[in-house]
Amino acid sequence: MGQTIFFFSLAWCAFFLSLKSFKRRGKGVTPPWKLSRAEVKGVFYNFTFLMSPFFKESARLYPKKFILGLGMHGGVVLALLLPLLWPLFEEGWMNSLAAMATLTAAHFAMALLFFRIRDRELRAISIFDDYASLLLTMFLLGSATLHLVLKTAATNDILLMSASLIFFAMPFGKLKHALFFFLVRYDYGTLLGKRGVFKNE
Amino acid sequence: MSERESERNFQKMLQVLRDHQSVHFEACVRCGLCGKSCHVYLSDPSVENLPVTKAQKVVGLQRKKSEEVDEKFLLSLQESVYGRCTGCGRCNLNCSIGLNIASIIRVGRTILSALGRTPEKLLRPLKNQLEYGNQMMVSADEMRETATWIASDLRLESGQESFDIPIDKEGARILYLVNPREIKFAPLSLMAAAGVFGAAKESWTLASRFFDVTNFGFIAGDDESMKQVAEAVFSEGKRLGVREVILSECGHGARVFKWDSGVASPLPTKSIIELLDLYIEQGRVRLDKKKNAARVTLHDPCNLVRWSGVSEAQRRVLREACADFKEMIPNRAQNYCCGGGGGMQLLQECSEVRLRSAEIKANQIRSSGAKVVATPCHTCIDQLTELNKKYQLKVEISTVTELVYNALLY
Amino acid sequence: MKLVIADKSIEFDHDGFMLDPSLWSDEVALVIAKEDGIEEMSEEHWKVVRFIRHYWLEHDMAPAVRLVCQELGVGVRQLYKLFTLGPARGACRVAGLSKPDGCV
Repeated sequence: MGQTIFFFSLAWCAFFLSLKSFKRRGKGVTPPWKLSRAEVKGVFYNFTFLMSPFFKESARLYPKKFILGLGMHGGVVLALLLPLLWPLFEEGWMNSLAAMATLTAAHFAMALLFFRIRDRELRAISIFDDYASLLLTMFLLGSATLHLVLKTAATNDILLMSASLIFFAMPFGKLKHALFFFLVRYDYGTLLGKRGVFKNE
Repeated sequence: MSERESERNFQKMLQVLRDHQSVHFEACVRCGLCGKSCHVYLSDPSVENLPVTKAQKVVGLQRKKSEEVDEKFLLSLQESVYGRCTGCGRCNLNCSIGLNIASIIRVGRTILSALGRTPEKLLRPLKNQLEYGNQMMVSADEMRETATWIASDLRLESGQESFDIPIDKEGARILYLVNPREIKFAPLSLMAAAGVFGAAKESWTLASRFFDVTNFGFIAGDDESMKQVAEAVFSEGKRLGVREVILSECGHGARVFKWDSGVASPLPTKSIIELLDLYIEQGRVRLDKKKNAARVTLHDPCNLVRWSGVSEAQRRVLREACADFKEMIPNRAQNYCCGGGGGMQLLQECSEVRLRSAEIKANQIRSSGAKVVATPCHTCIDQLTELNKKYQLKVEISTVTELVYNALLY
Repeated sequence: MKLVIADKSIEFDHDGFMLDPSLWSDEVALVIAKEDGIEEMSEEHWKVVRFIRHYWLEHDMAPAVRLVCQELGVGVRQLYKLFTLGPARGACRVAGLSKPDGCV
């Protein structure tokens, strides 16, 4: 039952997200097969160098948020892949490692939620979507940890449930950045590449 | 504001958002990492100065009800996109997602333009450009007489009888676009350009109409007008039969004419900085860098480096034209805005924010130990001149072309 | 910014230009000039300022720098020596004009 709902949520997400991203593709976005060499370089640059703390100043100026964000996202990717890659993480040290990762990520998500409530600035810019997304993420990471440790049919269902909730919600709130992140960095990457905006110091 | 007016405005605003729809609009995760990269926020760390706040005022409209979009909101939107943002784009490079935050904020200007709420000080130059062909209503006669006058001063100063400032010369190789202030108020940079062109034996011309390198349609977020102004200029270039358009030192001018005018440029377009770089590389001009002996530092105009990709040319030029060149840190695409971009230099109501937000630039200038600050943008020149006074920097501000002209060997 | 000059309350915009140019007088000119680091206005300073003022009263706009230089027989560089902030933000401001439109 859990699996059916999970796959349905994936289809739901794929459908609505494609609709939204296609609708928002904007004019002047070059399709990948038409990119010039310079634009390809720009896209690569925007996904690699411009995300590292060596080039991205904000990663150095907000070290706490950067680390918490990275850790949380690492856990999320793992947790969402768990239903599909379960045999890999079922036993042994992979299992222990994964459980530690998702548990840490769950704490990181909790910390981010805590900061979002406590920090005056973050509170001022936050909307319901921001808190709800963090709660959904915590639920996902917590249930992933639970399942990695207990490995029962019930915990499996709970994990699938939490993942399904994420996918049901994704097209309608900020969680859509899971896809849009790639579209955005691709788009701006082509701008950087085309105009030759590379060297930073 | 009546309810009906509110509703009408709201619908217009939503339509502008729909017209500019992009994946950048809804991918903000409100993490706030854009804050410390913004010079306005750094000088005054309030929520209002966060790039995310400014951008969310624009895209957040989709979450609002029409009653919420009242006079108070419109004034706050105006303040955000004109009074707290120069469109420098430094936040783009520091966004967790990689959003083009500055462009989102610029859509706010497009929205205000659609509602007829572009600030007066920006609307008047735009109207002048649409009606007279340039922002200061300089007539063709004025253009010709000024060119004659400057050319004769140039010949006197340089001792070169062949130097001239051609106007409307058909078949010239390049059309040189200038900022109208170079005709009306500050002609030394034009004189310097003419001197360098003369030394390089360049075939060039000014245009008597549509000679303006600036584009207030761009600044006001009015894309239709921006296109119209750019089209008129490109047509002029084609009419004169030139093979290239060269732009006087102007940040947004470079960005608009090279990339963002919305008009496919029929002619290759370069900043004069790129041409100077070429002259030096090809040995078409000879320079004695000892003539610029004082330490020189470079302020990179945001629109030139982050939005147009011209960042190495000005450095190579300055290293050849000056004996002691010292970089500011950070520089190139990571530079800080002078504080006066995006039209803020013209908005007197924003003077306080503009000068305070530029404290970081003033500190950079001090740290460099330079006596001269070179910058290839006239608005940056004006802003830095004000900073010089306010922060007691005791430096000289100069365009790059004037430094090159000063170093010329005939 | 508000200053009282010769018993009149004069308001300036954020860039130091007069909000009401009609209130200009020689005393106001001296105050603005001092702000620009011109301790004493020379004969040449006054010639420039009076020309600009007169032109503005007649044409309702600032004169082009060419007209100023040609009328007074000064070169552009000489003008910059007199008014270090330039013809617009220097001389026109001292002459009590409102700030010209555009990239000035």
